[in-house]
Amino acid sequence: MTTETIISVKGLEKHFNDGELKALRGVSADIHRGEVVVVIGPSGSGKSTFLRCLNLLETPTKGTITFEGTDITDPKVNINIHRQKMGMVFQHFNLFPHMTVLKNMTLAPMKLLKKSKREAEEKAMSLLKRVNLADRATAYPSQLSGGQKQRIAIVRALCMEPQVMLFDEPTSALDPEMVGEVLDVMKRLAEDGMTMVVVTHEMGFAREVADRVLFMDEGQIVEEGTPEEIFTHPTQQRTKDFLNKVL
Amino acid sequence: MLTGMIETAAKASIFEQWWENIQPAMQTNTLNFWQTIYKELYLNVIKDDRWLGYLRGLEKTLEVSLFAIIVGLLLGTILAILRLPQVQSINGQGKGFWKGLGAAVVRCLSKIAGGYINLIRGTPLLLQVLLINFGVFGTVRIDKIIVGVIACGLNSAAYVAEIVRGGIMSVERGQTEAGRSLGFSGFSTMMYIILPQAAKSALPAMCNEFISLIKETSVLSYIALTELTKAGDYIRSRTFSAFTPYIVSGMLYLAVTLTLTTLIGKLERRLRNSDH
Amino acid sequence: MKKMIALFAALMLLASCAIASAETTGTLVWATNPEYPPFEFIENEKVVGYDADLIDAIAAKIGMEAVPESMAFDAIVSSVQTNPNMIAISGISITDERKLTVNFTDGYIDAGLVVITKADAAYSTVDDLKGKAIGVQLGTTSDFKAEEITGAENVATYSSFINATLDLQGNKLDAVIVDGPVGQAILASLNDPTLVVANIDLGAADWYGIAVNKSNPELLDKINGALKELKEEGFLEELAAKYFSSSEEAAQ
Repeated sequence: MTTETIISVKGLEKHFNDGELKALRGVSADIHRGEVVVVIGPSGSGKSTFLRCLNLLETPTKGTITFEGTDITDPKVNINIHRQKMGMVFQHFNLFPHMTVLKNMTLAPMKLLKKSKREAEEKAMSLLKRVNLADRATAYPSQLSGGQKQRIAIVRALCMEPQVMLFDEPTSALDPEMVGEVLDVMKRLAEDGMTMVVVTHEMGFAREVADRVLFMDEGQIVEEGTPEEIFTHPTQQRTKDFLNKVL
Repeated sequence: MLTGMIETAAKASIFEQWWENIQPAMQTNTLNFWQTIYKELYLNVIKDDRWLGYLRGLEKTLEVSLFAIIVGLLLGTILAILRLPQVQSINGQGKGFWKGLGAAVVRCLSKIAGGYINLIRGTPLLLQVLLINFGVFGTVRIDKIIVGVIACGLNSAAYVAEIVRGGIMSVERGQTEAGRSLGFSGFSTMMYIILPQAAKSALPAMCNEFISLIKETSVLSYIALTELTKAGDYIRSRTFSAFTPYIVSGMLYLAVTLTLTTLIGKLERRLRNSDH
Repeated sequence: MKKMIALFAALMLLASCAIASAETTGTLVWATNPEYPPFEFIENEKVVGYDADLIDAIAAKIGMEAVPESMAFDAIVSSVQTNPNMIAISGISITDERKLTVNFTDGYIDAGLVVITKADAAYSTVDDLKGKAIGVQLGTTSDFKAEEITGAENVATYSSFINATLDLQGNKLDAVIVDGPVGQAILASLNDPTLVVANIDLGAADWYGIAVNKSNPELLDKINGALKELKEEGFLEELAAKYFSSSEEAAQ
């Protein structure tokens, strides 16, 4: 594993309702290239907000986020360019229901990367083969199961050849029997060396795949370390309480 | 083709012959039910090729409606976007002078759009038509069709705006986030991802609006545009029939609106089959 | 409004016999389009003018009370046609075509048609008007005359000739054809120096008459009798003096 920092977060704060609700209260973290960082924590701990700040889906109230050396919280920066390199996968898939699977995957590469239709479709088909969904290329999202939808959502993001992938509770909306197929895809992605930041409740996945685990509570990172350190020898009481509840 | 057939039929003078046949009864005012109907039909449709008058009126109605719908859709969509909550509360603070100025302009336009929609929806179309004809274009020599397209288009835009806004707001927020996270700008996300879905959910209401618009173009008869209603009025002023020309005009309106309803129904079914 | 009248007329047509016998004879309902000064116009929410005074005088002579009913001009003749007890006095020119559907009393004034144009237009003959955009009130003798001159496709028909005059002012028309006294009256009230009555003789006598339902010849006779007496008494000259700037307009 290299130590090149791809995302650097410093003093990140996010307030809602004019500061009534402080979702993030000064979060600092570095994400290194090729690293899989899993963020865990109780609901309302700010972990999703933290993830959504990374590509500015939420505008930070304070603090800086540096992506590949550029401070993307600077209003002069064209965030659209940087988002192209940060794939995101949502809890509710958010596939475009009015487009086929293939169109879902080729729209952004064709419009934003100016790829030819053939080039974009070839790339999409090869990704579909990797997740065993090549036969669903012409289907519409409504014709897919939840697990299939999420796998499509992952490869849709991969079509943009991102530098980092952000996962926002990717298995929370799935029926239990479909969680495995999605986690498998994510695991293979991690093995291929993709930089990943994953917000999840799947402790098994965190333990098995993560290089580093961040435990968040009340808008702060309470504890971070290897899965071994967090799950076997947590040092903070809040981490222990949380793990006792979920394990 | 159809025109030719009807003309031939008229020249074959079957109609004229029937007309001669009911003359005696007409003189003595003893027409029976069917003869009365034929008399009305002959006077208001057949005689002097009057049916052509309805068709010319229909043509103008369709012409005005089509272009007014286009104007309404384009302007209405712009108004709808300006009225979206995220646009109304757009905030350029701390983003440099030009972005701040841009945000202020957008907020101002949003207020204007809101006022415009209220103004148009709160006043009768007839008043708007008369104002545009005698006021805005008071001293301009301009084709009445253009006056009609502008008046009806500006009117329709206000209604379309509310329909489109409803359609846009019915699209889940996650769709915007998915689009933006792929790197699309707000505008591109709107064009490629939100509007196509909004259009689908707005289609039934939009169909209603188109049908209303087609019928409401009848107020253009007030500015001497010989559209379908005026065509009926005109024939009535020649034949003094109490209501027959209105029935003919009415059937033509009905034919147009039913056709439109069927077509949009088909489109709706096709969209429904393709997803959900 | 027109549609409501049409609907009303339709109902009347279907049930005309029943209604005919049920109607009281005390009131004389007269259909009119009160947008035609000086013949009929609205003042203080009442229909007044030459025609209103005339029908009031006639009604007094035949022992009835005259009650106006306002409607669009092109709805008037068909309303009389479908309602046996309705008459119409609204600057209606007596034409052969209208005689097919309603009866007319003797004429009470020869209005004659005039052409209103822009002062700078300088039309001097009927031929100058060929192919020009002419505005008229729908279904009037002006409408028929204009169609004869310039072709139906160049005639713009309005429900009120006042709107035609406004479109002439606004350059959307080349000319407006209208009954003489009415044209004079509107020019006087507009007081717009850019509009003039063109020096063109359309060569048509234009007698106004009162329209009566065909199935009611008794009423027609009564009105004709009253009209004759009023003519002899010089009442029509009085009216002309009251309503027209120059009394040559009134023929009798």
